[in-house]
Amino acid sequence: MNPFRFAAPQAFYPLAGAMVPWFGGAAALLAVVGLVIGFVLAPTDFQQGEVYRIIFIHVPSAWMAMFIYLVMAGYALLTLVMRARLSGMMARALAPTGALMAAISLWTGAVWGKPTWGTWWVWDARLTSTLILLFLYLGYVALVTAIEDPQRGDRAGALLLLVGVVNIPVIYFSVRWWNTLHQGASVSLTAAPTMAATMLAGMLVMSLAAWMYTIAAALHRVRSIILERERHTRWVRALAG
Amino acid sequence: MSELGTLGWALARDLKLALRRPGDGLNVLGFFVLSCSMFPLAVGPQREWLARIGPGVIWVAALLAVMLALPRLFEHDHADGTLDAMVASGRSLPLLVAGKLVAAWLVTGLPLIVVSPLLALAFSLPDGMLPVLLAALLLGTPVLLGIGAVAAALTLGVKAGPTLVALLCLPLYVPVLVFGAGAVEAGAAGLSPYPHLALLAAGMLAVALAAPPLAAQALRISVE
Amino acid sequence: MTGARFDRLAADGLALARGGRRLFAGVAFELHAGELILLTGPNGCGKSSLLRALLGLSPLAAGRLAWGAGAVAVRGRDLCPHAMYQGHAAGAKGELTAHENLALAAALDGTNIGGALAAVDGALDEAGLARQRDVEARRLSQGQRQRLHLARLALATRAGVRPLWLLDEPSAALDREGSALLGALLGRHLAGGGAAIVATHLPIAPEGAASRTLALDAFRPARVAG
Repeated sequence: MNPFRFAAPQAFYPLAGAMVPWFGGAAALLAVVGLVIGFVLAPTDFQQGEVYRIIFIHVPSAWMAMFIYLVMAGYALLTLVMRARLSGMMARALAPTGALMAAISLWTGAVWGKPTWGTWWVWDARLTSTLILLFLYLGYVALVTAIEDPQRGDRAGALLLLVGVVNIPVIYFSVRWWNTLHQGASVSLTAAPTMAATMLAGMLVMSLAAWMYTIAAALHRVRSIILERERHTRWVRALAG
Repeated sequence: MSELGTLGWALARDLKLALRRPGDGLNVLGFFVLSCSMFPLAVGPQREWLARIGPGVIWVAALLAVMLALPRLFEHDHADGTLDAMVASGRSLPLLVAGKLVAAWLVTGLPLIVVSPLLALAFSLPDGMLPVLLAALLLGTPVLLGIGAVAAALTLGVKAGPTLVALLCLPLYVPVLVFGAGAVEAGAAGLSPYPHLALLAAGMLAVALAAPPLAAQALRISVE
Repeated sequence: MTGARFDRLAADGLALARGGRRLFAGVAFELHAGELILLTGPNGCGKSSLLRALLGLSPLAAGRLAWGAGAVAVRGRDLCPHAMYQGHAAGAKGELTAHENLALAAALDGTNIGGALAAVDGALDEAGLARQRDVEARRLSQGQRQRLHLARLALATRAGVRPLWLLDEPSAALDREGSALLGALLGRHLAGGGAAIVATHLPIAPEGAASRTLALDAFRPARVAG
């Protein structure tokens, strides 16, 4: 069986439909496990008490916001280089979830910040960078929505994503240079974690849950996009009856 | 027509057009000066305060003023069909765009730099900061223009144009703002501004090389 | 020097889509030196789009283009340096005079031999715009702006570059004199070994040459595809 056959929207549509419940189920399962670890099993923090537990949502969502942008940039490359229609649609399908993750990260950051630093918002490096990432998402969505022709919208959005992804390290570096108030990274994929193994496990499980949810949401969304884009074709008319 | 000839063609053309339409450049300059002038009126005339916020205010005003000029970069050419002629000519589109960008900087960026000493005076910035401010603006305004050109090219003919351009540009402008204003503030604090200026210079080099081809590609996508 | 030598252009199975629907499919033609194809069809059938697609300005949904005796495949914008394209729009900057606009266009096209201003003036003369030489383009009438296009073509017939002309509605707004001039210029171009594809509603008669018609609406696909 030729896997490239699924690069055609018509073939991908039913495949995506079949996959959504599996990823959704996995997301729900992992979320339950993660939340149990985070809110029940992990020990109380010495300094911050119970409030710190929001980290189990704050950090995974921040990671996902970043990761989704990278995936979108990957699809952007395919859209520009290979003019693959489905890639453009996948990027559009991922964008709202990415923006949501960034927003959740900011919101949970504020909820964490109030009892910890006494204020709802601080202009520290991590939060500011996440805010800028949110603007990058909103800019992408605004651009592709404003352009009427869907193909032109896909390609313009793709160019924007590639420019954005190259600039993200620069932006992050400049924001860190500008201010470093936020607590230093307590979980790093390369360095040894400075917190209990349970906490690390909890965050990784929640990240995985967020990833499964993202895939499910994107596949579900892309089906709507496919139907709208291909509404003039015979197979869509047949579906509509 | 050689490479330099192509760039020169676009540069000469856009300069000639700017001379026939002086309102555009004056508009940008006026906005720059006016928006800077709003701040003392809003926060009060205490010299120490103004000196503290001065670098930031001047930079933000410069940034907004440059963004004001962006929609005009390609819209006129798109509307009267001359952009199509350029794309269809078979000449190097990145070089044509580069010529337009140099012209745009001469008309938009250079006046800002020339006027900035007056604004430094208005904000009571110490004399030693002036060269740093000038250097930072000299290096930073081309970067703002280059990034803005890509955004302007992507949004060609799109209805929500100017606001959308602002949304697209602002995240990408953050590094320029940080290092540009940072250079001047470092100077004020007695620290060396050279790291900031060096990063701005690197940014300018990167944008000089990357912005024309990226904007050209964006233009091609927009006229498809 | 009288125009540039055109070599064969062969198109096969061209299809184009706009906003999700196919405008046309299966368009095929062969163009040789000295030939003129008139592209006809009602508004919106894709005449302008086809011209732009030949230049690579818009993507083709399907089809092959080949150029020259060796049938070299044409990719993307390969034809642009060899083509003289004139679209619907004015193609002139309103703030610049007729002379300045033509000089700019000639420099871009590469048709100003030796950068001679006299050539530009001569072309304006031929197009009947001698008196409008220093008039700003925004003050020219529609017909006069169309004549500015003709002046550009006049320069091209003398320069020996850009043998393929792709013109979109060149006779719009032209009076009888203007149309005759268009015919004369086309005739000169074709006689010199060039070729042209002209999208038009109105009849065009090239001086001393024949033309054939390609009716684009005949290539409209069946209502539902896929």
